[in-house]
Amino acid sequence: MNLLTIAVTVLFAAVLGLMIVVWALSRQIGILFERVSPLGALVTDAGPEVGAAAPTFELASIISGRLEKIGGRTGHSTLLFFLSPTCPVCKKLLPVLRHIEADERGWLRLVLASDGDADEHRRYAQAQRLTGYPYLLSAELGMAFRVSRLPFAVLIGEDGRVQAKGLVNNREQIESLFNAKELGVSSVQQYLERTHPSV
Amino acid sequence: MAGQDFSAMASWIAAALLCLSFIRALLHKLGDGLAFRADLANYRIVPERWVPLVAMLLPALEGVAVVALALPLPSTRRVGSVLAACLLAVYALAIAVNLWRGRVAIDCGCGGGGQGISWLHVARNGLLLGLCALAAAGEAGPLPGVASVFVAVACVGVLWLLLLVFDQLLGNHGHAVATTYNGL
Repeated sequence: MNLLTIAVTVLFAAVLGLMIVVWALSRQIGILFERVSPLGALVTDAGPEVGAAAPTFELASIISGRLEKIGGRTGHSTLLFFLSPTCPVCKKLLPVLRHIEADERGWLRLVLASDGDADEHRRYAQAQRLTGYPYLLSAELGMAFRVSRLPFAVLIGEDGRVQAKGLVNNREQIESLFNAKELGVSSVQQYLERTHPSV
Repeated sequence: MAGQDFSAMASWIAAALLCLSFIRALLHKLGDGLAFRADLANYRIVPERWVPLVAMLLPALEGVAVVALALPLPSTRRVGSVLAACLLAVYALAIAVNLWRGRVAIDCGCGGGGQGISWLHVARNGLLLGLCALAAAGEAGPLPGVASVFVAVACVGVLWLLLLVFDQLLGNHGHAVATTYNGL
Protein backbone atom coordinates (compact mmCIF):
# COMPACT_ATOMS: atom_id res chain seq x y z
CA MET A 1 0.00 0.00 0.00
CA ASN A 2 1.65 3.23 -1.02
CA LEU A 3 1.47 6.54 0.76
CA LEU A 4 -1.14 7.98 -1.61
CA THR A 5 -3.60 5.15 -0.97
CA ILE A 6 -3.28 5.63 2.78
CA ALA A 7 -3.73 9.38 2.45
CA VAL A 8 -6.81 9.05 0.25
CA THR A 9 -8.37 6.42 2.54
CA VAL A 10 -7.84 8.53 5.63
CA LEU A 11 -9.17 11.64 3.88
CA PHE A 12 -12.25 9.79 2.64
CA ALA A 13 -12.92 8.58 6.16
CA ALA A 14 -12.43 12.09 7.52
CA VAL A 15 -14.72 13.70 4.91
CA LEU A 16 -17.36 11.03 5.51
CA GLY A 17 -17.14 11.68 9.26
CA LEU A 18 -17.44 15.44 8.76
CA MET A 19 -20.40 15.00 6.42
CA ILE A 20 -22.18 12.95 9.07
CA VAL A 21 -21.47 15.67 11.65
CA VAL A 22 -22.76 18.43 9.32
CA TRP A 23 -25.88 16.43 8.53
CA ALA A 24 -26.53 15.72 12.22
CA LEU A 25 -26.10 19.43 13.07
CA SER A 26 -28.43 20.59 10.30
CA ARG A 27 -30.99 18.00 11.43
CA GLN A 28 -30.76 19.31 14.97
CA ILE A 29 -31.48 22.82 13.70
CA GLY A 30 -34.51 21.44 11.86
CA ILE A 31 -35.71 19.64 15.01
CA LEU A 32 -35.26 22.84 17.02
CA PHE A 33 -37.43 24.69 14.50
CA GLU A 34 -40.12 22.04 14.86
CA ARG A 35 -39.94 22.11 18.66
CA VAL A 36 -40.03 25.88 18.90
CA SER A 37 -43.12 26.34 16.76
CA PRO A 38 -45.53 24.21 18.89
CA LEU A 39 -44.86 26.41 21.94
CA GLY A 40 -47.86 28.48 21.07
CA ALA A 41 -49.83 30.13 18.38
CA LEU A 42 -47.98 33.05 16.84
CA VAL A 43 -49.74 36.03 18.33
CA THR A 44 -49.80 39.18 16.26
CA ASP A 45 -50.14 42.53 17.92
CA ALA A 46 -52.75 43.83 15.52
CA GLY A 47 -56.50 43.39 15.90
CA PRO A 48 -58.58 43.17 19.08
CA GLU A 49 -56.40 42.43 22.10
CA VAL A 50 -56.76 39.33 24.23
CA GLY A 51 -59.25 40.20 26.98
CA ALA A 52 -60.93 42.89 24.89
CA ALA A 53 -64.43 42.51 23.51
CA ALA A 54 -64.47 40.89 20.09
CA PRO A 55 -66.06 42.89 17.27
CA THR A 56 -69.66 41.74 16.80
CA PHE A 57 -71.00 40.40 13.55
CA GLU A 58 -74.15 38.71 12.41
CA LEU A 59 -73.58 36.79 9.20
CA ALA A 60 -75.42 34.05 7.31
CA SER A 61 -73.66 30.73 6.85
CA ILE A 62 -73.21 30.03 3.13
CA ILE A 63 -74.19 26.40 3.70
CA SER A 64 -77.21 26.41 6.02
CA GLY A 65 -78.17 30.04 5.44
CA ARG A 66 -78.70 30.45 9.20
CA LEU A 67 -77.58 33.65 10.85
CA GLU A 68 -74.53 33.22 13.05
CA LYS A 69 -73.57 35.64 15.78
CA ILE A 70 -69.91 36.43 16.39
CA GLY A 71 -68.97 38.35 19.52
CA GLY A 72 -71.30 39.62 22.22
CA ARG A 73 -72.93 37.34 24.82
CA THR A 74 -73.65 34.08 23.06
CA GLY A 75 -73.80 31.61 25.95
CA HIS A 76 -71.00 29.45 24.55
CA SER A 77 -67.41 29.83 23.47
CA THR A 78 -66.61 30.17 19.78
CA LEU A 79 -63.55 29.00 17.91
CA LEU A 80 -63.38 31.17 14.82
CA PHE A 81 -61.14 29.52 12.26
CA PHE A 82 -60.04 31.51 9.21
CA LEU A 83 -59.22 29.29 6.24
CA SER A 84 -59.01 29.30 2.47
CA PRO A 85 -59.32 26.57 -0.18
CA THR A 86 -55.85 27.57 -1.41
CA CYS A 87 -54.13 27.13 1.94
CA PRO A 88 -52.53 23.69 2.29
CA VAL A 89 -51.89 23.99 6.02
CA CYS A 90 -55.60 24.70 6.57
CA LYS A 91 -56.44 21.47 4.77
CA LYS A 92 -54.08 19.50 6.99
CA LEU A 93 -55.67 21.01 10.12
CA LEU A 94 -59.27 20.19 9.18
CA PRO A 95 -59.25 16.65 10.67
CA VAL A 96 -57.80 18.10 13.89
CA LEU A 97 -60.56 20.72 13.99
CA ARG A 98 -63.28 18.11 13.43
CA HIS A 99 -61.83 16.08 16.29
CA ILE A 100 -61.66 19.05 18.64
CA GLU A 101 -65.22 20.09 17.75
CA ALA A 102 -66.52 16.57 18.49
CA ASP A 103 -64.71 16.47 21.86
CA GLU A 104 -65.60 19.98 23.02
CA ARG A 105 -69.11 20.26 21.59
CA GLY A 106 -70.51 20.88 25.10
CA TRP A 107 -69.10 24.34 25.42
CA LEU A 108 -67.49 25.19 22.11
CA ARG A 109 -68.89 26.12 18.72
CA LEU A 110 -66.65 25.89 15.68
CA VAL A 111 -67.18 28.60 13.08
CA LEU A 112 -65.27 28.67 9.80
CA ALA A 113 -64.58 31.96 8.08
CA SER A 114 -63.08 33.09 4.81
CA ASP A 115 -63.81 35.42 1.95
CA GLY A 116 -64.13 35.17 -1.81
CA ASP A 117 -66.40 33.35 -4.23
CA ALA A 118 -69.29 31.58 -2.44
CA ASP A 119 -69.59 28.77 -5.00
CA GLU A 120 -65.92 27.87 -4.71
CA HIS A 121 -66.24 27.78 -0.93
CA ARG A 122 -69.39 25.62 -1.12
CA ARG A 123 -67.55 23.12 -3.31
CA TYR A 124 -64.60 23.17 -0.90
CA ALA A 125 -66.90 22.60 2.09
CA GLN A 126 -68.53 19.66 0.29
CA ALA A 127 -65.19 18.10 -0.64
CA GLN A 128 -63.72 18.56 2.84
CA ARG A 129 -66.90 17.47 4.69
CA LEU A 130 -67.37 20.83 6.39
CA THR A 131 -71.07 21.21 5.67
CA GLY A 132 -71.99 20.56 9.32
CA TYR A 133 -70.35 23.77 10.53
CA PRO A 134 -71.27 27.42 10.14
CA TYR A 135 -69.23 28.77 7.23
CA LEU A 136 -69.07 32.55 6.91
CA LEU A 137 -67.79 34.58 4.00
CA SER A 138 -66.91 38.12 4.91
CA ALA A 139 -63.88 40.23 4.13
CA GLU A 140 -64.96 42.61 6.95
CA LEU A 141 -64.73 39.80 9.50
CA GLY A 142 -61.14 39.01 8.52
CA MET A 143 -60.29 42.70 8.55
CA ALA A 144 -61.83 43.20 11.99
CA PHE A 145 -59.54 40.54 13.45
CA ARG A 146 -56.61 41.72 11.29
CA VAL A 147 -56.05 38.28 9.80
CA SER A 148 -52.92 38.62 7.70
CA ARG A 149 -51.92 35.00 7.36
CA LEU A 150 -53.75 31.69 7.33
CA PRO A 151 -54.70 29.51 9.11
CA PHE A 152 -55.68 31.95 11.84
CA ALA A 153 -57.79 31.05 14.85
CA VAL A 154 -59.58 33.19 17.45
CA LEU A 155 -61.11 31.80 20.63
CA ILE A 156 -64.00 33.97 21.84
CA GLY A 157 -65.42 33.35 25.32
CA GLU A 158 -69.07 33.17 26.41
CA ASP A 159 -68.85 36.81 27.43
CA GLY A 160 -67.80 37.86 23.93
CA ARG A 161 -64.20 38.61 24.89
CA VAL A 162 -61.21 37.40 22.89
CA GLN A 163 -59.57 34.71 25.03
CA ALA A 164 -56.77 33.66 22.70
CA LYS A 165 -55.83 34.09 19.07
CA GLY A 166 -53.01 33.53 16.68
CA LEU A 167 -51.57 31.96 13.58
CA VAL A 168 -51.94 28.20 14.02
CA ASN A 169 -49.90 25.74 11.99
CA ASN A 170 -50.45 22.50 13.91
CA ARG A 171 -52.52 20.71 16.53
CA GLU A 172 -50.30 21.88 19.39
CA GLN A 173 -50.85 25.49 18.44
CA ILE A 174 -54.63 25.08 18.33
CA GLU A 175 -54.49 23.37 21.72
CA SER A 176 -52.34 26.20 23.03
CA LEU A 177 -55.33 28.49 22.48
CA PHE A 178 -57.40 26.34 24.87
CA ASN A 179 -54.51 26.18 27.36
CA ALA A 180 -54.36 29.95 27.25
CA LYS A 181 -58.08 30.07 28.08
CA GLU A 182 -57.76 27.56 30.95
CA LEU A 183 -54.74 29.27 32.47
CA GLY A 184 -56.14 32.72 31.93
CA VAL A 185 -53.03 33.91 30.12
CA SER A 186 -52.76 35.10 26.57
CA SER A 187 -49.31 33.89 25.61
CA VAL A 188 -46.40 31.73 26.67
CA GLN A 189 -44.44 34.86 27.47
CA GLN A 190 -47.13 36.07 29.85
CA TYR A 191 -47.33 32.63 31.48
CA LEU A 192 -43.56 32.59 32.07
CA GLU A 193 -43.64 36.10 33.51
CA ARG A 194 -46.34 35.06 35.94
CA THR A 195 -44.78 31.79 37.10
CA HIS A 196 -41.13 32.88 37.04
CA PRO A 197 -41.16 36.61 37.72
CA SER A 198 -37.36 36.74 37.67
CA VAL A 199 -37.05 35.29 34.16
CA MET B 1 -7.11 5.39 -14.97
CA ALA B 2 -8.57 4.93 -18.42
CA GLY B 3 -11.34 7.22 -19.63
CA GLN B 4 -13.74 4.31 -20.02
CA ASP B 5 -13.19 3.21 -16.42
CA PHE B 6 -13.86 6.74 -15.28
CA SER B 7 -17.14 7.00 -17.17
CA ALA B 8 -18.14 3.57 -15.87
CA MET B 9 -17.47 4.67 -12.31
CA ALA B 10 -19.26 8.00 -12.82
CA SER B 11 -22.25 6.09 -14.20
CA TRP B 12 -22.30 3.75 -11.20
CA ILE B 13 -22.02 6.59 -8.70
CA ALA B 14 -24.73 8.63 -10.44
CA ALA B 15 -27.06 5.63 -10.70
CA ALA B 16 -26.57 4.79 -7.02
CA LEU B 17 -27.26 8.39 -5.95
CA LEU B 18 -30.40 8.54 -8.11
CA CYS B 19 -31.57 5.21 -6.67
CA LEU B 20 -31.09 6.46 -3.11
CA SER B 21 -32.93 9.76 -3.83
CA PHE B 22 -35.87 8.01 -5.44
CA ILE B 23 -36.07 5.39 -2.69
CA ARG B 24 -36.19 8.22 -0.16
CA ALA B 25 -38.88 10.05 -2.15
CA LEU B 26 -40.81 6.80 -2.56
CA LEU B 27 -40.74 6.02 1.17
CA HIS B 28 -41.95 9.56 1.84
CA LYS B 29 -44.87 9.15 -0.60
CA LEU B 30 -45.87 5.67 0.57
CA GLY B 31 -45.38 6.60 4.24
CA ASP B 32 -48.19 9.12 4.11
CA GLY B 33 -50.29 8.57 1.01
CA LEU B 34 -53.00 11.00 2.06
CA ALA B 35 -50.53 13.81 2.65
CA PHE B 36 -48.93 13.16 -0.72
CA ARG B 37 -52.33 13.31 -2.38
CA ALA B 38 -53.00 16.64 -0.67
CA ASP B 39 -49.56 17.93 -1.71
CA LEU B 40 -50.19 16.85 -5.30
CA ALA B 41 -53.61 18.52 -5.34
CA ASN B 42 -52.05 21.69 -3.94
CA TYR B 43 -49.76 21.97 -6.96
CA ARG B 44 -52.95 22.61 -8.97
CA ILE B 45 -51.48 21.06 -12.11
CA VAL B 46 -53.49 17.85 -12.22
CA PRO B 47 -57.31 18.17 -12.38
CA GLU B 48 -58.85 17.34 -8.99
CA ARG B 49 -60.50 14.09 -10.10
CA TRP B 50 -57.28 12.71 -11.60
CA VAL B 51 -55.30 13.33 -8.43
CA PRO B 52 -55.85 9.84 -6.88
CA LEU B 53 -54.79 8.17 -10.14
CA VAL B 54 -51.67 10.32 -10.59
CA ALA B 55 -50.84 9.87 -6.89
CA MET B 56 -50.62 6.13 -7.55
CA LEU B 57 -48.93 6.45 -10.94
CA LEU B 58 -45.99 8.61 -9.79
CA PRO B 59 -44.73 6.25 -7.03
CA ALA B 60 -45.11 3.31 -9.45
CA LEU B 61 -42.97 5.09 -12.07
CA GLU B 62 -40.41 5.99 -9.40
CA GLY B 63 -40.27 2.33 -8.34
CA VAL B 64 -39.65 1.25 -11.95
CA ALA B 65 -36.89 3.87 -12.28
CA VAL B 66 -35.19 2.62 -9.08
CA VAL B 67 -35.20 -1.02 -10.23
CA ALA B 68 -34.03 -0.15 -13.75
CA LEU B 69 -31.19 2.01 -12.42
CA ALA B 70 -30.07 -0.59 -9.89
CA LEU B 71 -29.73 -3.44 -12.41
CA PRO B 72 -26.15 -3.65 -13.79
CA LEU B 73 -27.33 -3.85 -17.42
CA PRO B 74 -26.64 -1.04 -19.93
CA SER B 75 -30.12 -1.17 -21.49
CA THR B 76 -32.10 -0.99 -18.24
CA ARG B 77 -29.84 1.70 -16.82
CA ARG B 78 -30.44 3.84 -19.87
CA VAL B 79 -34.22 3.31 -19.57
CA GLY B 80 -34.03 4.05 -15.84
CA SER B 81 -32.03 7.23 -16.45
CA VAL B 82 -34.48 8.52 -19.05
CA LEU B 83 -37.47 7.71 -16.84
CA ALA B 84 -35.82 9.36 -13.81
CA ALA B 85 -34.94 12.41 -15.94
CA CYS B 86 -38.54 12.71 -17.16
CA LEU B 87 -39.90 12.50 -13.60
CA LEU B 88 -37.39 15.07 -12.31
CA ALA B 89 -38.10 17.42 -15.21
CA VAL B 90 -41.87 17.18 -14.62
CA TYR B 91 -41.41 17.84 -10.88
CA ALA B 92 -39.10 20.78 -11.56
CA LEU B 93 -41.61 22.21 -14.03
CA ALA B 94 -44.49 21.76 -11.57
CA ILE B 95 -42.49 23.59 -8.88
CA ALA B 96 -41.46 26.33 -11.32
CA VAL B 97 -45.05 26.87 -12.51
CA ASN B 98 -46.20 27.33 -8.90
CA LEU B 99 -43.31 29.67 -8.18
CA TRP B 100 -44.38 31.77 -11.16
CA ARG B 101 -47.94 31.71 -9.89
CA GLY B 102 -46.59 32.98 -6.59
CA ARG B 103 -47.85 29.94 -4.69
CA VAL B 104 -44.71 29.42 -2.62
CA ALA B 105 -46.42 28.17 0.54
CA ILE B 106 -47.25 24.69 -0.77
CA ASP B 107 -45.47 21.59 0.47
CA CYS B 108 -42.86 20.20 -1.89
CA GLY B 109 -43.90 16.58 -1.24
CA CYS B 110 -40.49 15.42 -2.45
CA GLY B 111 -39.23 13.61 0.63
CA GLY B 112 -37.75 15.71 3.40
CA GLY B 113 -37.68 19.47 3.31
CA GLY B 114 -41.38 20.28 3.57
CA GLN B 115 -42.87 23.71 4.14
CA GLY B 116 -42.73 25.83 1.06
CA ILE B 117 -41.03 25.64 -2.31
CA SER B 118 -38.28 27.81 -3.73
CA TRP B 119 -36.00 28.04 -6.75
CA LEU B 120 -33.52 25.96 -4.74
CA HIS B 121 -35.92 23.03 -5.19
CA VAL B 122 -35.75 23.54 -8.95
CA ALA B 123 -31.94 23.77 -8.76
CA ARG B 124 -31.87 20.54 -6.77
CA ASN B 125 -33.81 18.77 -9.52
CA GLY B 126 -31.47 20.29 -12.11
CA LEU B 127 -28.55 18.74 -10.23
CA LEU B 128 -30.26 15.34 -10.19
CA LEU B 129 -30.96 15.72 -13.93
CA GLY B 130 -27.19 16.06 -14.42
CA LEU B 131 -26.78 12.79 -12.55
CA CYS B 132 -29.27 11.16 -14.96
CA ALA B 133 -27.08 12.23 -17.90
CA LEU B 134 -23.97 10.81 -16.17
CA ALA B 135 -25.75 7.54 -15.39
CA ALA B 136 -26.96 7.15 -18.97
CA ALA B 137 -23.62 8.09 -20.56
CA GLY B 138 -21.34 5.55 -18.87
CA GLU B 139 -20.89 1.80 -19.03
CA ALA B 140 -23.12 -0.28 -16.79
CA GLY B 141 -20.69 -3.23 -16.61
CA PRO B 142 -18.87 -4.38 -13.46
CA LEU B 143 -16.21 -2.10 -11.98
CA PRO B 144 -12.61 -3.22 -12.44
CA GLY B 145 -10.95 -4.26 -9.20
CA VAL B 146 -11.63 -3.97 -5.49
CA ALA B 147 -10.02 -0.52 -5.23
CA SER B 148 -12.45 1.05 -7.72
CA VAL B 149 -15.41 -0.51 -5.90
CA PHE B 150 -14.10 0.97 -2.67
CA VAL B 151 -13.70 4.42 -4.25
CA ALA B 152 -17.18 4.23 -5.80
CA VAL B 153 -18.79 3.28 -2.48
CA ALA B 154 -16.90 6.02 -0.64
CA CYS B 155 -17.90 8.60 -3.27
CA VAL B 156 -21.55 7.54 -3.08
CA GLY B 157 -21.42 7.80 0.72
CA VAL B 158 -19.95 11.29 0.73
CA LEU B 159 -22.16 12.66 -2.08
CA TRP B 160 -25.32 11.11 -0.62
CA LEU B 161 -24.62 12.78 2.71
CA LEU B 162 -24.04 16.03 0.82
CA LEU B 163 -27.47 15.68 -0.80
CA LEU B 164 -29.04 14.94 2.59
CA VAL B 165 -27.41 18.04 4.08
CA PHE B 166 -28.67 20.14 1.15
CA ASP B 167 -32.22 18.83 1.61
CA GLN B 168 -32.06 19.38 5.35
CA LEU B 169 -30.88 22.96 4.95
CA LEU B 170 -33.61 23.50 2.36
CA GLY B 171 -36.15 22.29 4.93
CA ASN B 172 -34.62 24.47 7.64
CA HIS B 173 -34.81 27.45 5.30
CA GLY B 174 -38.52 26.73 4.79
CA HIS B 175 -39.02 26.62 8.56
CA ALA B 176 -37.10 29.86 8.98
CA VAL B 177 -39.24 31.57 6.35
CA ALA B 178 -42.49 30.14 7.78
CA THR B 179 -41.72 31.37 11.30
CA THR B 180 -40.66 34.86 10.24
CA TYR B 181 -42.60 37.43 12.19
CA ASN B 182 -43.53 40.11 9.72
CA GLY B 183 -44.89 42.44 12.38
CA LEU B 184 -48.24 43.14 10.77
